[in-house]
Amino acid sequence: MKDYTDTPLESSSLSARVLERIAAEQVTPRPRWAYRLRNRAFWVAALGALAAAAAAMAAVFFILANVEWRYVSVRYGTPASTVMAVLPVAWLVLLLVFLSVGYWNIRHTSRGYRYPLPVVAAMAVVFTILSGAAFFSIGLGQGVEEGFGGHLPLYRPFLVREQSWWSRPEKGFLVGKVSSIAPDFSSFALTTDSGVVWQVEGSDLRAPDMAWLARGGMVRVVGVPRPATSTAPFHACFVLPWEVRGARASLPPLPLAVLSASTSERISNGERSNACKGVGPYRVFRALQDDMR
Amino acid sequence: MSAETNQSGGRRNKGGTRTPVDAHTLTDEDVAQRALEDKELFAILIERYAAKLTRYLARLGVSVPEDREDILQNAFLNAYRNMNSFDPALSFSSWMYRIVHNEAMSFFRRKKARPTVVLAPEDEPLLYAIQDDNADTSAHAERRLSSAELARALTTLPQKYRDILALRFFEERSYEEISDILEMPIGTVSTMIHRAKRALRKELGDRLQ
Repeated sequence: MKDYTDTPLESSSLSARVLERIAAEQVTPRPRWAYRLRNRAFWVAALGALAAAAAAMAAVFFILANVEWRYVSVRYGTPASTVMAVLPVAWLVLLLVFLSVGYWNIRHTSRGYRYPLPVVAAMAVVFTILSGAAFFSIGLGQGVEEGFGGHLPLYRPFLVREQSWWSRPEKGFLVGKVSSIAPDFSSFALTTDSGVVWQVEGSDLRAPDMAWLARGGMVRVVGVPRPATSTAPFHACFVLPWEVRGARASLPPLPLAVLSASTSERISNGERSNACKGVGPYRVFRALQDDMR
Repeated sequence: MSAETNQSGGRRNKGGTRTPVDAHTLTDEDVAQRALEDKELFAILIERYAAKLTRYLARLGVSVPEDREDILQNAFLNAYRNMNSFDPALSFSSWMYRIVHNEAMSFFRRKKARPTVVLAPEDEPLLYAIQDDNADTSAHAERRLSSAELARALTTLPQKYRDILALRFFEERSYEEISDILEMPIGTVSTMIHRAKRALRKELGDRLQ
């Protein structure tokens, strides 16, 4: 049998040959700073990737926090279609990509191979969740979801999608900013994001609706469209808040009106007119308003 | 301490006079440090490791002596070039084995050569270990396979198993050292050893009974 003991390597001749090559090829040790720099670059890249993962997580939190779970049956239908609609797939994919990049970089640091994948993965996920929650709480979730997400191909930011769904007057949904209210809440004006001003008839509104209107700012209105030629081409049945959770810092809207005792007395919490009963999700919104009272 | 060591291998005592230090008595790590200043000292490391690493290469499947020498030359050259990347948290030995291992893997890829394990009769501790799952390298077997049979079985194993068995049972490296050489977590080393032993037992089949 041929084995390595047949041809023992002469170590002194090997060392001589290696030293000759070192001299002939003018091999010099690479400077220590180059290795330190490389190692730090991997750590910086890993931290950068984890920060990006945390930002993606903040976007996930932003979407999940702004799903109006109370309206899901009206907005999305079945639980399965709700999940399909609200699951932030793009952000979860980005999250996974950034976590993988982070792990790859940690793995390539000088001692990165010592950390087992499950431990690194668990730590990265915990870090991402905590940082993502912190980012979300300071409004970065919205910034990332709308700012960065707006540049992703085939991606529409969540609130844009929601606003678009709620901006369908022909289906009885309107969303916009309350720009004026008649003193007796018999009508009000709503300005949409595109700048269109809607005159809305408010005779069917009840105290909770008025409270949302009086607060000012963005609201969503559920009602019945009227002929465009009428003075108020939309008849409001319900007014619901449009709240953005985890929003970038902004000043709260100034109250537009104050509910007076006479107004509250005029309109009780009773049944609405027959016009409103034609509104598809009437029962849902009715129950919802009862809950919110 | 009454004396401090200078870069060129001499010691300076409190009186300021030099006393020569025999570099052969220094640890690998110290020699490596000094070789940065005096490349001739690198020869000491080569002489310390040449035989061990030659055996290791044979056990990895580099069957031609000339190839082994080429690999070793390149490995030592790389070690010298990258001496500043040596992490004192590792042993020099693990670092050197890592370089040789990587060089051998590059060799197999480059040459598209099929590894052929070459073993010597003293390589039989592996056999004892695979016959008993709980056995250490010191365990004994009643029946002995020839090293040729063992080498043939090892040659058929996937490279990752051959690597880990060679380090654990021929080179008698600890799990931590193997983790540093193969750059994998210690838990993975343990799992791989277990799987590699099972694969080798399966390969040897009834020749082991």
